[in-house]
Amino acid sequence: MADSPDRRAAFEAEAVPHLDAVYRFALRLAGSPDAAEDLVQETYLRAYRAWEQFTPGTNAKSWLFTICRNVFLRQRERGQRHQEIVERESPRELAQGVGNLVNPIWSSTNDQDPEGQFFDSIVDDEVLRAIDALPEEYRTAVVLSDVEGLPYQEIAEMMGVPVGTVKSRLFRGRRQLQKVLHDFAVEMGYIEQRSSEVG
Amino acid sequence: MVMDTIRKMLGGDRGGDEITCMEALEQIYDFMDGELEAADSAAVQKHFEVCTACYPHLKMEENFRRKVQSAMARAGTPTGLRDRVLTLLDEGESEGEAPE
Ligand SMILES: [Zn+2]
Repeated sequence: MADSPDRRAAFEAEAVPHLDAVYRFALRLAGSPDAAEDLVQETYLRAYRAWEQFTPGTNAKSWLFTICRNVFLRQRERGQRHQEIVERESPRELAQGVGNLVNPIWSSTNDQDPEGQFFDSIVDDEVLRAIDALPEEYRTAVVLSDVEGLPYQEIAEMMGVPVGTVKSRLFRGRRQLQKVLHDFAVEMGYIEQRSSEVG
Repeated sequence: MVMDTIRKMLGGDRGGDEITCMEALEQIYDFMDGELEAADSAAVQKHFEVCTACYPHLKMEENFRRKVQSAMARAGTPTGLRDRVLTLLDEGESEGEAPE
């Protein structure tokens, strides 16, 4: 029996408008535009077939991201091995000690660029390269929070981990990304290296 | 000074919402990510507004986030992707009609 026009209309109204966001996410997961497009197509096909499992009134974007990531992870399992991250899942540990609270990037730039304006000088491609170099667990958390603005709870459900783990992944992912961009800015001469560890 | 401290401890005179630099920095991401209750969020925001030591730290995080957002926004969806997806759904529908 053919699918009802209502089903198709509902899917087009609720899922298809998120195509840009899903593609943005897929591109960061898959790495290349071709692979991202394949991933998006597979995501939408699966989502459409599983449309009855979507709970109306919940965030369709999160639901699509979940499918997209699951498809990607399954494909990756079949492909080459990936580097597992070592997670010590304690947000308390992250917050302990002022040394950890004060961003090391900030300590290095506070006398020349206290508000981190050097980030603006960095070309977009370099930022994207740095994002892509993050372990997938950090990359997904950072993209979903910083770019898509999803709440911790939704990211946690999507990734199948507790909220504390999401916070820890965001913390580590952001700091790692900032360090790479900071080092790039130093290399390019946008800012000077002023690390206390050096002197 | 002593009176201020006592007032803070008692939480009266709106002094009770004052937080330390460490507490502000500890919650910087929760604050930026909109994960704090309104009262806590207001206390953190107030701290960043008045504390010259912490203010640049928040600005740096905001500049960083803006950069990540603008870099990500540049990757546009390929032309015709929407149509290709819709076509795929049509095919998915007809596949669904076939018996197992
Ligand atoms: Zn402060």
